[in-house]
Amino acid sequence: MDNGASSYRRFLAGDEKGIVDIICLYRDGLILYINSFTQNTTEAEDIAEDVFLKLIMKKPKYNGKASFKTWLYTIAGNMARDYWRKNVRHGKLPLDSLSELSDEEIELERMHLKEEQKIQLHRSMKKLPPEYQQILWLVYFEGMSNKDASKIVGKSVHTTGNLVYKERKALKTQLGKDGFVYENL
Amino acid sequence: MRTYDETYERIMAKKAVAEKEIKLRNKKIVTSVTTISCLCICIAAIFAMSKARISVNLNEKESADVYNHIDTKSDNAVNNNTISTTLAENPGTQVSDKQYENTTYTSGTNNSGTATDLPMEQDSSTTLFEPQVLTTNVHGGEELPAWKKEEIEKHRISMVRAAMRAVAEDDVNKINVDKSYIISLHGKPGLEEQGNEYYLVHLEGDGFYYEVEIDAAGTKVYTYDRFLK
Repeated sequence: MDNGASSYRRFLAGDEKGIVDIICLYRDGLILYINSFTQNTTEAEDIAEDVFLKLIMKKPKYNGKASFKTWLYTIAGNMARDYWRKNVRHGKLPLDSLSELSDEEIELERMHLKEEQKIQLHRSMKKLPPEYQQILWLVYFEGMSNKDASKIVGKSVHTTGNLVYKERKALKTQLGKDGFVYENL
Repeated sequence: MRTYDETYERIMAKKAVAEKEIKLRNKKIVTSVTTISCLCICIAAIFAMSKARISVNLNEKESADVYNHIDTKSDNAVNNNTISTTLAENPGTQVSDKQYENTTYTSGTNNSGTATDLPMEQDSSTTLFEPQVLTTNVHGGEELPAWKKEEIEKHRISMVRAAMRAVAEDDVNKINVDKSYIISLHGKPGLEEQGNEYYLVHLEGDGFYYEVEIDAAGTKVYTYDRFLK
């Protein structure tokens, strides 16, 4: 059982500190992941807060079939997709929003990714279409397997594997355009 | 970019708002449920009342139908008022049962003297009125069923007793035997030839009008006439 799961169990048992631990542990990663949907850090922060609020208010049951992180990212992914659908429908988000990184996002990636190489990889990834960014984020930055990533994005493992392959190629090309070579890719 | 503390504070603020909304929603639900329950109770009460009223109306209608039927079938229908007048003017006149169902009782002191002695206690101290069961054959010779006769008899006795009680207590308003029967007390005390003071009471029920002479003390019935409506 990972840290998140034990913290959530403590929270369900009545220990308020459990949720504080979860927030500290997953907040930044969640914001960056949600940002691949929203392309707006402030809104990504709001959605991440709503994800934690959902844990506090509704106390959904975590059955332990997947890791706590996968479960939490699934909730976040669903909420982000709802947001994305709603805002695309109302014309608030462009379908191919490839915005420049904001100062807040730069600060966040420095805090969360730390390594210069990863930061560069993230920046190249941000130039890819949003749907590519979502899976690549989960696999390369959150270190998830194709199986876990497939659960979060709601696709089959096979489809997810194909997508990862295709997206990795696209990322390699993008990195080459930016003048970088990332050996671990 | 928000700090962890800010994020936590914002989440807690959102939680407080959400809880407030839930409370408000629950309150609304409780109010709605209460209102709906009250409405249901009211509707049920109205329904029960109307059902009871329909039942009473049906009973009245049934009763009226029986008498209307009898009245219609009568071949020898006569004007009861005329007969009543005749009786009043010529006490003692015998009227055939076949003509109409108008029985006259007279007490011992009554001078109308037609047929039967009043089947009540002659002792003035008693207020009981115990009339015999009337012949309920009506014109045309058709006989009412036994249960109907019994029912009519019960009402008739109750009506007369109530009238006697009202006279004794000198309170017209107290006459109320049954809601389904209209009873009225008319007039002022009159003096009979022998000097007896009496009330002429008009009653209505069972498809008949009744004219009853009751002594001023409300203890005796002098005459008792029944007319088809």
